[in-house]
Order: sequence, then structure tokens, then C-alpha cells
Amino acid sequence: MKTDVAIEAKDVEYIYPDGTVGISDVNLKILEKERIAITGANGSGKTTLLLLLSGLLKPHKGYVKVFGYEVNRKNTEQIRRSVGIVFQDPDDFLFNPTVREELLYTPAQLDMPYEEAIEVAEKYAKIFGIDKLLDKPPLRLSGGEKKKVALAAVMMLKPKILILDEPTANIDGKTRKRIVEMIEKFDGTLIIATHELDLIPKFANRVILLGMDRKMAVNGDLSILDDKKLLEEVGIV
Amino acid sequence: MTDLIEKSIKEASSYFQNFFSQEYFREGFLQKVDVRIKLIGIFILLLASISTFDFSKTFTIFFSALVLAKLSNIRIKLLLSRIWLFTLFAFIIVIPRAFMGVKDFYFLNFGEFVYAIIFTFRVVTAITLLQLLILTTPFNQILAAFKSFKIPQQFVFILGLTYRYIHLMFSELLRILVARESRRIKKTGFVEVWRFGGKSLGSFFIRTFEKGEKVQLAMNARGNDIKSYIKPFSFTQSEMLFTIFVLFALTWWIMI
Ligand SMILES: Nc1ncnc2c1ncn2[C@@H]1O[C@H](COP(=O)(O)OP(=O)(O)O)[C@@H](O)[C@H]1O
Ligand SMILES: [Mg+2]
Repeated sequence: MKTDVAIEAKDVEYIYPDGTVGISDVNLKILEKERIAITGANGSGKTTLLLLLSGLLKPHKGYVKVFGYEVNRKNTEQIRRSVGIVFQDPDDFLFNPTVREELLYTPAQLDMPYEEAIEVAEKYAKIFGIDKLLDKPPLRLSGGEKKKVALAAVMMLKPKILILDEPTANIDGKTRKRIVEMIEKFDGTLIIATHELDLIPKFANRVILLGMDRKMAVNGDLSILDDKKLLEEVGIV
Repeated sequence: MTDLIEKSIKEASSYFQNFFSQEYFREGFLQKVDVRIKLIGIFILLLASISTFDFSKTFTIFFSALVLAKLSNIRIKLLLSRIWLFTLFAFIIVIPRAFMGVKDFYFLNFGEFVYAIIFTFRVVTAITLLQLLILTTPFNQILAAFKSFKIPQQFVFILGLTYRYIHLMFSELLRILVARESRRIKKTGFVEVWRFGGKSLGSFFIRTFEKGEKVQLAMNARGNDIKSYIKPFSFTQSEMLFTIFVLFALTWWIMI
């Protein structure tokens, strides 16, 4: 069976307006159905890399292709339809007046019929345990609840590529378990940034380690998780 | 005094943050009315309330608004908490007139004083009506209704953005003030408040700006059209009753 390349990044570099290098020298091929962990210390460029791979930021050097479509204005819609991303901070991600509208937001953009959308939304609200919160404004929820709303809003659409930024950071044990369960069940291409090393073996079959120079230090299998010296060098442990 | 200023800023930001949020999960009469009919009806009442300087006419509309609030299970306390600041603003703006010009009652110009009261009352009525709409309707539905009235896309889009940013701005302001309070140990003098004010204003703008950028990014990620679900138009009992109610109020308004 031929496996397609889901995302390809070539010589990618991104520099923030204030001159900070977000990430540089990224060369990467992610195959369909691959499950990838991106890890590294705070400020190593995980978030920047995810935004680039999802096509939301356009690299200043090199290119990113999603299913063969290069990230640019012309291909935006095509790319957006296949990539679902959840930001690290749900406060940046949730902007609708109620949880229900939050869940129905993207389906409406995709012209999904209302009956279908509400059915899926309610199903996922149940799965994530947020069905009692549907009428509440997201900004009045707790951190863990917000996170679940953001995840439900994206995962209910079953994107071909799912990108999550620190999905279990600052989350209590029970919620974390539920989120991990959902991640394990997801069967598309999965890319998760996390600095929680114990999370990685639960879902990933490849690890990309970012160093403090905001470049890829390692791109390989899970064995690097045992390399204490390396992990210490890049500041994760 | 300085505490008072800070307290007022905090009050005001939580006020504005709440002003546009709805609590339409309560069941009630207006909640059932089709958003298009509701929008038109409320608009008509609004026009009626502000296109007169006859107190009893404005009162008719105000009274109708209260009846609608009652029928829609909106607590008067909630309504009050959302209109008081605008009322105060309006009053502060017009009341100086009462002390100018011809004084016919010691220091008071009575005609102007009555004008100020009626002006404020008109504002109260208009804001109450606006709140009836906001409290009983999801904001996305209001936008969708505007769209279905063929109001230009750009306008509706900007309205939607403004709504999100206003929310953002005031929640950010509130967060900065609360964060500061939580880290303050002793009472501050005026100079310090002044200095902090400048600094926090700066960081407030930066934070709002960056937050705004991130929300923009999120909107790009999640779809950036102004599409939202709107129930198919229906004219059933609730719409009928609402229409009759508005017409009745209007007739009363014309006759008295
Ligand atoms: N909006 C921004 N403006 C300027 N610099 C930024 C911005 N966002 C991130 N950075 C910088 O880019 C680098 C990478 O950040 P980020 O991708 O957020 O790392 P991580 O997610 O691994 O913590 C950091 O040095 C950070 O300070
Ligand atoms: Mg990050």
C-alpha cells in the first residue's frame, strides 16, 4: 500500500516581527497516519512549528506543503479543511458566546446541515463530559473545561490531520485521562507538542526534539526518551 | 480617591464585559420569537421611544419593555445591573444644562431640568430594549439575522469582530487590574497609581493587540466566514403574539 505524505516541510524558517527566531532549519516529512510528538523546552519553538505545519503561519524561508498543497493564500481553504489545530491557550481559541455555538462554529463555516452538526456536537459534548455546559459562556469555565471544549470543537470534525499544542498542560488527573483516551482513539495523522515526557509513549511512534537553538535536534523513534543526557542538554528534564 | 478611581475602572470593565453577553438559556417568551421578527419589533419600539419628548409616550414603551422582560423571565435586578452605567453617563452629560441659562427656581432652570430627566429616561428605555434583545438572543443569531436582511457583509463582519474584541478588551483590562490587586501589599499613593496607570495602559494595549492577533489566528484556523445557523423562518404563535404586542404598544404610543 502506498502511503501519502501528509505534511512536508523544507528548509523552513520563521522569524517573529521583533526579530526573534521562532524556528529554523526544519526539514520534515510526515506520512499519513503517522503519530508524532514534538518536544522541547519552553521557548524551543514547538508552538511556532505547529502553526507552520498547520499552514496558519507562512514560513519566511522554505516551504510547507499539506497533502501536496503549498501553504499560500490560494490553497488556504483546501488546507484548512484537512487540518484541525487546537491552541495551547483555550482563551485564544474560544471566541463564541456559548459552548454550543463554539461547537457549531466550524460546522457552519463548512456548510454542514444543522441537524447533522447539532447531532455530532451533542455526541462529542457527551464524550468529553461537557454536555452540561452547552449554554455557558466559555470564558466562565474552568481551565480544564475550556480545554475540553476546544478539543471537542476540533475533534468532532474528524480532521485528516490533528495538531494539538500541549493538550494536557495544567490539567487535573481525571480530565487528563479522558483527553489521553480521546487522543489514543484518533486514527488520522496526529501531531502533538508536549513537554510531558510520560505522555509521548501513549500516542507517538516518532519524536521530534527541538533544541534551545530552535532547530530540530533529533528526529527519530522513542528511544531518545531514555537518553537522559540529551534530554538534560536541551532543558526538558 | 485613588482607590475610588481604580474601583470604578474595574466596575466599568466588568460592566462592559457583561453588557454584550447573553443569558438566553432561560426559557421565556422573547426567547421563542424568531430572531428576525424580534429584531424588527424591538427596532420599532426603539424608534418610538426615542422619537418623542413626551414623557408618557416614552413611558408606554418603557412599560412594554418591562412587560416583555417579565414574560421572558429576565430578572429586574439583572436588567438594572446592565443599564445603570449608561444611565449615569447620560444623566451626567445632560444635567449641567439644568444649571445654565435662566434660573427660575433658585439655581435651577426647571425646563432644562425636566428635559434632562426625560432625556435620561429615553436612554434608559432604549438600553432596556437593547438588553431585551441581547439577553434573549445568541449574538451569532443577531448577526445571521442582519445578514438575512441583506445588510452588507462587511458591516456584519465588522460588527462580529467588534463584539469579540470588546469582550476581549474588557476581560483583558479586568485581568490586569485583578492581577495587580492580588499582588499589592500596601495601600498605594496617588503618584504610584498614576505611574502604574501609564504602565498598565501600555501593557493593556499590547496585550489586547496580541490577544487580538491570536484570536484572528484561531478564526483563520476554525473558519473565517460569517456563517452561522439560523432557524428557518417560521411565523407561529410566539411570533404572532409578539407582533400583536408591538402593534398594541405602538397604537397606545400614537394615541396618548
Ligand atoms: N508573537 C511573538 N513575538 C515574538 N516572539 C515570539 C512570539 N511568539 C513566540 N516568540 C518567541 O519564539 C520562540 C519560540 O516560541 P514558541 O514557539 O512559543 O515556543 P514553545 O511553544 O516551545 O514554548 C521563543 O523564543 C519565543 O519567545
Ligand atoms: Mg508553546
